Amino acid sequence: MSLSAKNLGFYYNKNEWIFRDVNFELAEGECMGIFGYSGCGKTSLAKIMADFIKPKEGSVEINKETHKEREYRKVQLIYQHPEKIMNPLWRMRDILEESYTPDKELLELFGIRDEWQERYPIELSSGELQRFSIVRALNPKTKYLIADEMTTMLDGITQANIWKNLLEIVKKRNLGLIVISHESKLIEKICHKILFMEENRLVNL
Amino acid sequence: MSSFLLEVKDMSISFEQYKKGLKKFTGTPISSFDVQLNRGEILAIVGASGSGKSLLAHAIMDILPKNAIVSGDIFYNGEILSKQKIKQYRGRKIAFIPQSVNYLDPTMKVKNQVRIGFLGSKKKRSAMQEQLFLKFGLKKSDGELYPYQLSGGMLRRVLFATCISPDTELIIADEPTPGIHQSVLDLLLSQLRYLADKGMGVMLITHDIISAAKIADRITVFNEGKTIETAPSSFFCKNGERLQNEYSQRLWRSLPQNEFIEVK
Repeated sequence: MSLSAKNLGFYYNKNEWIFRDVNFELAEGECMGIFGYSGCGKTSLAKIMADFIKPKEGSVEINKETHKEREYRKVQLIYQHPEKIMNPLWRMRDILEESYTPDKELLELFGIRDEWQERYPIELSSGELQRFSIVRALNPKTKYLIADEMTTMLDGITQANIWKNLLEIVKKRNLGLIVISHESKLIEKICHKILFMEENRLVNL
Repeated sequence: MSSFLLEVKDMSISFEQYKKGLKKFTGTPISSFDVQLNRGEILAIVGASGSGKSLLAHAIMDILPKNAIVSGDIFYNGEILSKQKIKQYRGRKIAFIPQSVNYLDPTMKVKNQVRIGFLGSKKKRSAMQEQLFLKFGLKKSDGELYPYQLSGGMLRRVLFATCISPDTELIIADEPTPGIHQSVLDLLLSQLRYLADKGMGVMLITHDIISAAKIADRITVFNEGKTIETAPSSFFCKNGERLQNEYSQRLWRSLPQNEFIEVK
């Protein structure tokens, strides 16, 4: 059981490759960090893994199968800018329940207050929105999680808390986790293996 | 008359919201907040997520939504910063770096967005923009791209570039640095310090206490809408034992560089 990237390549402008020949494998229950300079394609890679966008070459396989249309995506992405992935015309409750209805315990674990549920995305701070984004991705059907700069908009105490709770859930459900961050200290503390993304390729550390 | 560049006295921000039907209720995320900022100084504001730091910046810039009620006084250069005044100063004397990259226009090339605030001939403006891009480690060709084609860290640098113009006296930066790798981070921070040393005032709202401690003169810790402590940035070191307040100490110790969390 694993999530694998096979010879992935991607560009925005034709033939200006952002990365090419990216290969890695992530087993369930494993935690991998991806580290690299800004603009090297970390987020594009995350989007491809979660099937937000299609790669220009290569493929993503989950347990030897590719992503299927019209089905819940087993790889869920927690995006860098939560305000960009929430429908501004929906209340938070609807945004959350589009995925599933989380129980009270889970909401409390991530410090989501009941009164926030009736608000619109613009009425919450980006740190608060990010917590909804995390809970939304923790659908019971999720097998792999990608945390793209998940806690950069959070203060230290909340950041430590959220990582602690998330790692417990990841362990309990045996999820595979990819952590993308600029903070090498954070990645070093929580990941089993680390990939360094350089100009157009990945290097194992 | 105060001699501060920016002074906020007893500011409260409340929101009117509708619950069910026409029932109104008022929430007050910030109550009686005071801050003083000198010329040539960097004041960092750190605090918990959702404690109202961004609201504070938006209140000074007068870009809060219509259902917000702001009370208290904001003085700029000793005079009250009224709605007409801020309209004049906004984007010229007072620059704002927003937290969300959503503030960029998705249908406009980034080079043109940076040029908006500049005055002068077309040639002069484009030269200024290219110079800024060079300074922040962006390629000239990056200017031809639209926001969706740039990475998070590059967008931050574009946002940062939009705030710099020759007339700027005060910069309010709301989380300008998340998602930027260390070398560019250092570049941006030293740029802020340089601007401050030239006589600008900088209000830096951030979660990144490490960076704040590096460049700021004073750090204000903020929680649940109140100022908890204002300390010189040199107090943020080692175990934080020189900090007065227990919350500030916990905030400092929780960083990945320090204790963070116990992970097996």
